[in-house]
Amino acid sequence: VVPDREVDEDCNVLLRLSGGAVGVLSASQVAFGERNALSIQVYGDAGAIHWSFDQADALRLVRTSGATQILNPLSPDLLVREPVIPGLGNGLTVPFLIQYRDFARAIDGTAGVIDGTLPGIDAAVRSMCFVERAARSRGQRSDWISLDLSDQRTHA
Amino acid sequence: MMKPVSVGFLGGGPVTQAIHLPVLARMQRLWRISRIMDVNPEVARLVAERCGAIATTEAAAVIEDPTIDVIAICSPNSFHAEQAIAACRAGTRYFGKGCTVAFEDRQNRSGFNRGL
Repeated sequence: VVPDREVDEDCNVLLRLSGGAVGVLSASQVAFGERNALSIQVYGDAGAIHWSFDQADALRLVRTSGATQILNPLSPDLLVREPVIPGLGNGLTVPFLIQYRDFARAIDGTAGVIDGTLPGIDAAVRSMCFVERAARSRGQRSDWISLDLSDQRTHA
Repeated sequence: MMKPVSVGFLGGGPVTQAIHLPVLARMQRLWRISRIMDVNPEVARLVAERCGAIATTEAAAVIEDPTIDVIAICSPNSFHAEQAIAACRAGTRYFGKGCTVAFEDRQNRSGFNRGL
């Protein structure tokens, strides 16, 4: 989309998680109209859970019978009391509201924010490692690449 | 009651205007917008006026302002590394936007590692 931009703007990453689950991460800056539609879906043999930042206070649990429950968070830190900005969509503004709110709290010395609702340095380094290894995987195409920071090998 | 955190922006473009500043406007008990830097003086002036900040076209005016606690790097990607390095060297304790630093400029990244 932007000539000469070096950062990938669209990706689909296949994942093998440590617990044995498999997954896919889709992230795109060319998905027009989505307005930062951060969402997570987990599908298991007992049902599925769905979550979206657009409705951050609702976790939808769907059982294999089809029965659906809406669960509200036990942690109020994922909620914001500030009125969201009309027209932008909650998915775009709520993450920023939470980040700015908790960043200020962390600076003020509130305990438990870092590595609570905000990632700490270890999580930040791990997330950067993930991006770099996903980009490296793109070049290798056929190999799995470990996210273990001490493991530089690839895995066929 | 905590004192509001002072933030300076490097870049006053659409994301700063449409997302960051409206969010911060709802948190004035926590945040105070001190300076808005943009290479376009008219953008800098107009955006700064809207939030009661000081306008500038010079990144150094934000980076070297000792009253600013946090620098929000909202400039084009190619500037992230040098601005983050400059902010750290100036003693800024907090700045936003780190991901592209590691990604886009390996020469600067090694400088980033040394500088810190």
